[in-house]
Amino acid sequence: MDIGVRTNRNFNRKPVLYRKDKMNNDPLYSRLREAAWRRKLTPGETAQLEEWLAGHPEAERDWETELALSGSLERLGDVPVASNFTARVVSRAQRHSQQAGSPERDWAGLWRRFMPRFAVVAVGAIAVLVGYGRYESSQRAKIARGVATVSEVGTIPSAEALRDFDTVRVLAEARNDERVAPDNELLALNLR
Amino acid sequence: MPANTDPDAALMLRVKQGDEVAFAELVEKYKQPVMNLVYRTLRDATEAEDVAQNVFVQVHKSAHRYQISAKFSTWLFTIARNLCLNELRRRSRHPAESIDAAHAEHDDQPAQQFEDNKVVSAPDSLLHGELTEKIEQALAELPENQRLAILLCRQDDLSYDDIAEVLGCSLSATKSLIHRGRETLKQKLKPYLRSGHWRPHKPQL
Repeated sequence: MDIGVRTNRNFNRKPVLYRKDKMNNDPLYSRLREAAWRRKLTPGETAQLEEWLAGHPEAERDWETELALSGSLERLGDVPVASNFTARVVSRAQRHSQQAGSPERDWAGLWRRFMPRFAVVAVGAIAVLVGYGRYESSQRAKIARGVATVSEVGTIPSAEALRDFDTVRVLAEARNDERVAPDNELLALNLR
Repeated sequence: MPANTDPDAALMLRVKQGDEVAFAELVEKYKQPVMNLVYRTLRDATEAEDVAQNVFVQVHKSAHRYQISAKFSTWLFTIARNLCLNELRRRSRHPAESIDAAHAEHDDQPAQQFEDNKVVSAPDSLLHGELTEKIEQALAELPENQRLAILLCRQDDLSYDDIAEVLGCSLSATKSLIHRGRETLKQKLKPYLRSGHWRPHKPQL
């Protein structure tokens, strides 16, 4: 196993040691090692391994460490389990299935579970409705004010009277404007 | 997977039909591996027992959803893994909250009491030597997914494909997790592994 040096990709100039583990890339060694993680090697596999290790003596140390770790993990043994474990589990499972079988409990459970969400949604909906109601009433008040203004106008002149409205309005404006003097002579001729 | 080749699947079919004896058989068969996995993931004997019980209660509750095509042990360990991860997340969110409080809303009836004939203290009997303690500690310090991969790797009835399914990752990623976890363990336990203390003690003549 040889050790090489490479720099980090962020070029922080600090060298990072890494293992160039050629053994990891060897398919036979990888296969045998993966098998040994889980079980003892068969005689055939052991023979293959011995043959391979004869050609790669540098890997012997690694293989010994692998075996040592597997042995250590096997040493862990079982965690003690209470003798009444099964009885307690069956009892709990039965209680849960009884609770699930009761429709009242179902509704109560659902209500308890979803009440906070329902409350948030309800408050949001009420806020939206109140806001929309206020907007609608303000719009209605605006329309009502417009109608009231129109209703205050007494009488509307007839169409005959409004025919020369624009001419009269322009003349009236011209009369008030000092820059535009009225053509009194033309007006007099028209009046004859 | 047909039920006639997987005896556990046949038992689950009976559980689906409400057979409590079949359920008890499954619990009896898998309580030890589930407890091993859960305890070594959570590192707390009381919580581990509670979570391990929840794993089987979950199996009972979800029996109607169990697909006969799925391998039972894979399904079981997936449930165990999910509950362990939930518990670790709950711990990180509420470090001081008792697990009893978390389940109080569902368990409003007092639990039926069963006498424990074999009273044992899990941590005391488990940590029976310095090396064992060091291994447990080194395992506990591994990242969750590497630790789970290594623990599942000890289950004889789970293939690498099954472990990958439980962990929810590819086969190559699973092997990589195991490899990286073991490399870390080898580094941490180097002095012990080289000393030969890991070898089983031979009885003195």
